[in-house]
Amino acid sequence: MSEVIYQLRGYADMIVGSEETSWEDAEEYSSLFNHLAANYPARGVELHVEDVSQEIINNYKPINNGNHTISSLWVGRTISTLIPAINNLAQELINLVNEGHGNEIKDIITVTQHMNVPIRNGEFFNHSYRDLYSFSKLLINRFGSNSKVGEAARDVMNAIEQVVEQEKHNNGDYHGISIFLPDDRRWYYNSTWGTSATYRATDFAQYTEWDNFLKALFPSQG
Amino acid sequence: MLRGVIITGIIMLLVLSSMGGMASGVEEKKMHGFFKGNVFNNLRIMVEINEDYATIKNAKDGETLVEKAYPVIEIKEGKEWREIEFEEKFIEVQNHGGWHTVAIGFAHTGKIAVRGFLEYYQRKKVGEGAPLYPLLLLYFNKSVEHRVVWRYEGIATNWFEVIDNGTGETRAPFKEGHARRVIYNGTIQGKMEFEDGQDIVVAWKNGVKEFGSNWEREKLRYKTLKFDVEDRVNMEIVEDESNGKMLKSEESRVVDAYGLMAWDSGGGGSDPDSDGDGLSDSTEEAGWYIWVCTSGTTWHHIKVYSDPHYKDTDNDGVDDKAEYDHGTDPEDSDTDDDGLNDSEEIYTYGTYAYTWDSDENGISDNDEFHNWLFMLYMDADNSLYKYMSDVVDKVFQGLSGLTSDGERINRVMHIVIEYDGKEWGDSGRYEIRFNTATWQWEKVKVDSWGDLAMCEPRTLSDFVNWAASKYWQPNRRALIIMDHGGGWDGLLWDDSVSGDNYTDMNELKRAFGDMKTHINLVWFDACLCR
Repeated sequence: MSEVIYQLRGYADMIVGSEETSWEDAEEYSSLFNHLAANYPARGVELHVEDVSQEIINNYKPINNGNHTISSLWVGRTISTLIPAINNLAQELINLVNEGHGNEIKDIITVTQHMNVPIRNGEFFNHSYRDLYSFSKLLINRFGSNSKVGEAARDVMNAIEQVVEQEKHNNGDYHGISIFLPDDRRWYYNSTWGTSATYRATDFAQYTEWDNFLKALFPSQG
Repeated sequence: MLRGVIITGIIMLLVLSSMGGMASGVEEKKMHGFFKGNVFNNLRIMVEINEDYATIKNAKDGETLVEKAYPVIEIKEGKEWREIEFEEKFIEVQNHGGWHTVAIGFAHTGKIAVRGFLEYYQRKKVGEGAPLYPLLLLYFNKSVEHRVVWRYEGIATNWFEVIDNGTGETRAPFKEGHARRVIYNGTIQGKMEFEDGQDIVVAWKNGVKEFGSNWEREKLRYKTLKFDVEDRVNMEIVEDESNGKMLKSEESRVVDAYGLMAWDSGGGGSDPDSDGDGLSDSTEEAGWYIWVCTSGTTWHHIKVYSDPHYKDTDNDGVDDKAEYDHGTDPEDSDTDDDGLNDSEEIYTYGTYAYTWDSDENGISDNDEFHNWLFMLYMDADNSLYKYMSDVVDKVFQGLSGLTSDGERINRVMHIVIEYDGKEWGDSGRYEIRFNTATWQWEKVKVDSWGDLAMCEPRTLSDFVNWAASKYWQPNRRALIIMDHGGGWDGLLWDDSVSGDNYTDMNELKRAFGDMKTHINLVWFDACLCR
């Protein structure tokens, strides 16, 4: 997620992750390290960061045949390229909300590709984790590529293409990075999980414009 | 096997074969390539490589400086020198390892067998204008007194020869099996002015010696007799003083056009070491030779230079004197192109900075030191236990079959695991490593606990710091975190911990902040973390 990557800025070069429990059992660890060893050092081939992430992704087998996605992203590039684009997009979205387009945005969020795996007792809270590229694409479809939000969305899509090193998925419109994007205020102000307070405690919520957009979309008095 | 005698003849621009005096008989010119570049005094030249000789031109205006340049090999028979004729000859033009090379091979069979190569090469990555490097290698079947005569024809109507006596000297740093650094150390018989030098060229003007240049072994510098480049002088070869005849001196010519030698242009004036780096200005300007191996097992003999006004010409953290001592290129921060810069190799890793594979095991120094530490942080103290309780065994099994390459793999990959399951006493810290005594992979439990609070930031950072401390050498590190995940909501749930039993984002950040090493790759084998 954008939020996790932002939280670890400066501490890692690349992050690899899936949106589901990655592997069904420990068997894949056996194949991963076998491939890492046999394909690189055993052959005298230098093992780069991208090679490790590629092997992880190659060996990725999700629990079931449902939607799944896994990707590797450059952290530094995310911070320098994607985050400014997200900030700009958030500002344009705030402008749209202020212009009365809030419900249209919520409609778009509803059909934006979301992540599937339930967490905590089967609740699909994680449906609020949605593919950022998918969302940007739908914004362009709705508001036009020449609109301010369309241009901002295009910048986000371009940035995603730069920061995502590798991506793999089966079904769905996944492009490598998700973002917290609830379609209903009940997920933003979730009493069970204390969503708002927990989310706002993250660096991403505090230091980017995204949470300002969510607050504009789901005002507390609403 | 032929017994090798290596002679490096780096004479001015030289080049070319025609071994056995074939140049004079060549009617049709057949060019095999050309080089453009600077010679020692920065004269920009073009050297055309022909089958039997080289033609040297001024690159700016195309003026022919030397119509034919070629070496002749002579061996001593009694008191006489006899020129060797070569029955076999071939030319190879290659582009490899960043070098553009034209090599002329030649061979003579008989009681005294000789084979050799005259290579002329230029480092492509430096681009046009890079120094040109001629290299002559001779291999005799027996020890034989020999000399190389470099002939230059067609300089106006003049010609001259430069005579080396073929002695070679190896000097420090010499490490067995590696730095085969050879400095050509020919001598000219009988000329006291030139002490123990080589490549003597003397210009005469009106019968008076105007300038000369040689190389002084002890001072490791070119000794230069200054002259006015506008003077018109005659070029002569210096021979044995006993018969020190002028071989040719029929016409005059502007000496600068030859562009042959490395002049000591002063640089430091009365201070011979302007930048105080321990190398004289004249040494830095004149350059010196090093042996470099950038791939495979082919070594190149190249001349390198440094700036007399900067202690560290290439700013790589190794000052020019140290580059000189270590046999590295002061103008190239990564002399052997292995990806480790000279400073890292010399001061950090202790590898040879002039060869890509210091221990000659087929793995580059970069690979050996840019290797990986994989740190697996496995939290199975929850519902994942039924899937992940054997994760340590699975990692081990992945490697256990790779025994023939085990040692090599283990030099590049170091694997440590911290595991905590649901059972009391199943927590442990493991290493998966290759045992060179048994020639088997082994799973070693290096520490154990009743239970670990995997959700505690300190547990994670302690593990990483232990691993990075034990395996300090790798500079690439991967951290694999396996557990349940909830994206920004947190991860690393530990059912054995009551109350706050997971790691939230700020705790995760704190854990990474407490790590005393940089992580190159983090893999969240956990939900919703990308």
